[in-house]
Amino acid sequence: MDGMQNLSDDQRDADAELLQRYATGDAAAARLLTTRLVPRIHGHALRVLGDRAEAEDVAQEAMLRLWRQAPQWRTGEAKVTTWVYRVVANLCTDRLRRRGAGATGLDDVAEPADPTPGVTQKMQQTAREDALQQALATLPERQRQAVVLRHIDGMANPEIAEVLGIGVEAVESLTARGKRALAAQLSAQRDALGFDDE
Amino acid sequence: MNDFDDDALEDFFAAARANPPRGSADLQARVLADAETLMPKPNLLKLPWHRALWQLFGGAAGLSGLATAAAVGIWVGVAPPAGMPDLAGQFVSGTGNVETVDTAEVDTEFEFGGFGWDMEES
Repeated sequence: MDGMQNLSDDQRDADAELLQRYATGDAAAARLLTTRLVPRIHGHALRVLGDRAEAEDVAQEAMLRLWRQAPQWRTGEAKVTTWVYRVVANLCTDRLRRRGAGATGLDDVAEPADPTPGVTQKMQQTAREDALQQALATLPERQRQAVVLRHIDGMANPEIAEVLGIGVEAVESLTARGKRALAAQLSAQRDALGFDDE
Repeated sequence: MNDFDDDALEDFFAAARANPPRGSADLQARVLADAETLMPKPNLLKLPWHRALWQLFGGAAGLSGLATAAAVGIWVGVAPPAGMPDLAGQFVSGTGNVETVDTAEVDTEFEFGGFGWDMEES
């Protein structure tokens, strides 16, 4: 929580209320928090790391730190999601640095999803997702994290700045450079994969 | 951004957002197991009365056990197994054969001697 900006008073944090309930021994609050947070942070870690097992380990470790933090949690200092994403970002950075450059896993990010779109549309969606994941893996780690937070997790730039521990302008720069690099990568694949047939 | 514009890139992001990865059931179980291990013990004095009462009975697990025991007790009372007296039936019909004690026959005098209180006065 240290170093994070204070929230405005009218910005209620339902996750913080659940965390406080957990800190008083409410097991139901832990289940709700798990349901709310784990899919999001696991998804983020998977996009950044490209490895399902590693992403699950990161999500579990981040939640473990949240449970430990619960008794000392002070409402109003930071949003729970921001805090957890920050832990996840740091854990991902550690793993990427340990792994070394160019060794990002690409095993199984794309999954079979609901069969609501047509088969062709679904195949193209999966192809786009795979291509995006491969292109993301070529980005430097901070650019990758910023782009995923902004354009897949849908986070606003000030919150991304808190998560990554940098200024808002630096976030804008990272996402802009990241998008340019992604566009260059995906443009090269577009004709081969038929992304522009709509 | 060469010939690949923002709209085209957004299609890729939209595809990723439309199909969020799902964590395994095992992940949820591991996270919840950690939560249970690290969950602080409830301080009943700091809880609202209804949650304190809830915790006093052991939460959901304790109350479900209590409810089960109560239901079994009522069931055994209403429909006792063979060989057991039908206490509920006797109670409702008033035909119970309950042994009574004639209080007049009970010796209500205490014998303090057994407690060493019959010391002789000197």
